[in-house]
Amino acid sequence: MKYILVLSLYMVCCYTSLHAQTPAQHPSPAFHSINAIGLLQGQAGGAVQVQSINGVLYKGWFAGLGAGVDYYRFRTVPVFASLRKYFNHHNNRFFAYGDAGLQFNWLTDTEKSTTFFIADGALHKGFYSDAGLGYALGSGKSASFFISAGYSYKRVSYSRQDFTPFSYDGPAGSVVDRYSLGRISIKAGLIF
Amino acid sequence: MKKNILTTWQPALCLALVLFFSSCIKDNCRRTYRIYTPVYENISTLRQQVKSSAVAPVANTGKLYINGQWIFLNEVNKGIHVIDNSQPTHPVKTSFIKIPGNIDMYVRNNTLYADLYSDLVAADISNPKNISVSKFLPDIFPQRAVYMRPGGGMDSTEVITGWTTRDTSIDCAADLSRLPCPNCQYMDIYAAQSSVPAVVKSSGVAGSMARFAAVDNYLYAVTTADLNIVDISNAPMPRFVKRQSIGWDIETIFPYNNKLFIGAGSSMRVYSLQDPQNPVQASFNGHWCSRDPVIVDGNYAYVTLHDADGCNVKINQLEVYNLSMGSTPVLVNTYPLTRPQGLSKDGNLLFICDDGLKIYDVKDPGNAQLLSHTKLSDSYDAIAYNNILYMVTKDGLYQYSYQDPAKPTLLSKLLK
Repeated sequence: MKYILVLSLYMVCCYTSLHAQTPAQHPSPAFHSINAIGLLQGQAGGAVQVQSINGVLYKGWFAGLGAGVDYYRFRTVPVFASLRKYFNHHNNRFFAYGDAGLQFNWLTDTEKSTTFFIADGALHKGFYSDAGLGYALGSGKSASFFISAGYSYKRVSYSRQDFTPFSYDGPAGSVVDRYSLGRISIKAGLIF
Repeated sequence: MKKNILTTWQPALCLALVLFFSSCIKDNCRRTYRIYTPVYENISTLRQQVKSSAVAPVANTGKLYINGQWIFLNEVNKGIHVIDNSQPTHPVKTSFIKIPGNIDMYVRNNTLYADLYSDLVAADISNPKNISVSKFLPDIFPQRAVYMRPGGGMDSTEVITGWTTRDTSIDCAADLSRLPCPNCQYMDIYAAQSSVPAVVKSSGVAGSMARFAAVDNYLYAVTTADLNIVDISNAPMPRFVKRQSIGWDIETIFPYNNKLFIGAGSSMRVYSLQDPQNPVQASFNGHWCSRDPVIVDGNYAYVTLHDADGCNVKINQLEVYNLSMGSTPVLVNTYPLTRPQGLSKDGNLLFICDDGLKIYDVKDPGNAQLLSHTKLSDSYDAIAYNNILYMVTKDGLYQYSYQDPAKPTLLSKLLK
């Protein structure tokens, strides 16, 4: 609930500051490429995210596939399906978006060297999602700029065996940590 | 003009406001532990279960022992498959010797020696379809017995025969502070908060993963910390001689030239058998924490190291030691491997279970040459004997002819 309140607040703020509107029509399906860089802000602090989503825009609806790099907590590569709805056909227009998919681990050397990731432990891929609202500025016929804010979630599990000094001690117990990482996702980029 | 300044700064103020509220968002962690609870059984009940039975499916392969035309394949913690291998292209399972808790074995003069949890059992296997136990030696492998039950006081009659499992979850949010976030370095403003007819009569060949070895009239059996010495001069009636401490994390034993080569978790130890009842450590070679069977031929010892639980280093390699340069083995060369397990040697050929089967020419041990690599999954131990390479994998037992080591020929496979 608090996330909805935060996002609503953000959108109201944006609406009061950005309100120039010019008609922009998309009568036939058109290829669109959305490329963004952004900030993921959560309990661990801020981290960078980079994304590229490519798909088709038709009658105010955009559907595409995206991939990126997410540096929050540890580097992961989200691969997801994206859907967004533009609320009008003006040049400057609000939109709502939703992304869902999987994120794959791509640990940096620094992350691999940390004592947290012990030998024989394994980090597993997990669910990824991002949803929010944004505002696009531009004609839609060439590159247009956009900013968005939303709530992004990535789930990561890390499994490892308990240490047993002798094999006769019995089967090694297993431990699985499931991390649910929520972040505010602020993105800015260009739509081609 | 005043209105324009407000309009310009409003998105930035909105962003700051949203970031401020991000402090409401917390990362969560749920930790699930799989807990194993032991199932106890009385060992006298288990002793009564030792008998021959009809052939059983190969399910969980363990160690391997070759005795003439017979193959003895351990079914971990259940017993031993007896396989007639008179035709290597058509091995035939003859019977299954049920021995609860069995992992290791040794055969001499129709007598099988095997572990039954904490016992050493001696059995006449001249008729593998109807074996007869001649003796149980209790308390040879004390690590596999449970003498103290919780709240039950001293009780030497029970062993752990199985485990029940259950999962339990707890909140581990407190460990989040240990979770690294090397990339969260920007705007970190809130982080601070946060397994027949008469069997042959001679001794056979054991694999490199064996914990049993015999030299003359003595059977040597290692536990994780001790060397047990058993007099088998009267084969059906073994007699426990003594137990001596030889260190920690002991894994394998290999007899050669009146010496015992012991493979341990972080070392290779050599014991002299000048006095067979009182082995004396002749040398000690420490190495990286890893799991390491050892075999010896001529003046060289071959040790494979693989990473394992409990070791913070990942070492996967073959080490070759020269044993002729004084009392301490001298490392000659190391060869990187994938994750080696058992190994065997025949003439100038070295066979290593590593990502399947690798065959090396070790005419010059200091410059081993890889001749072939046959990919198989989870190969565990190998014995090269009479031009046949016997190899145990997680899937079962494979036999290869290595007349052409560069192109080993599959003779048969006995799978699950």
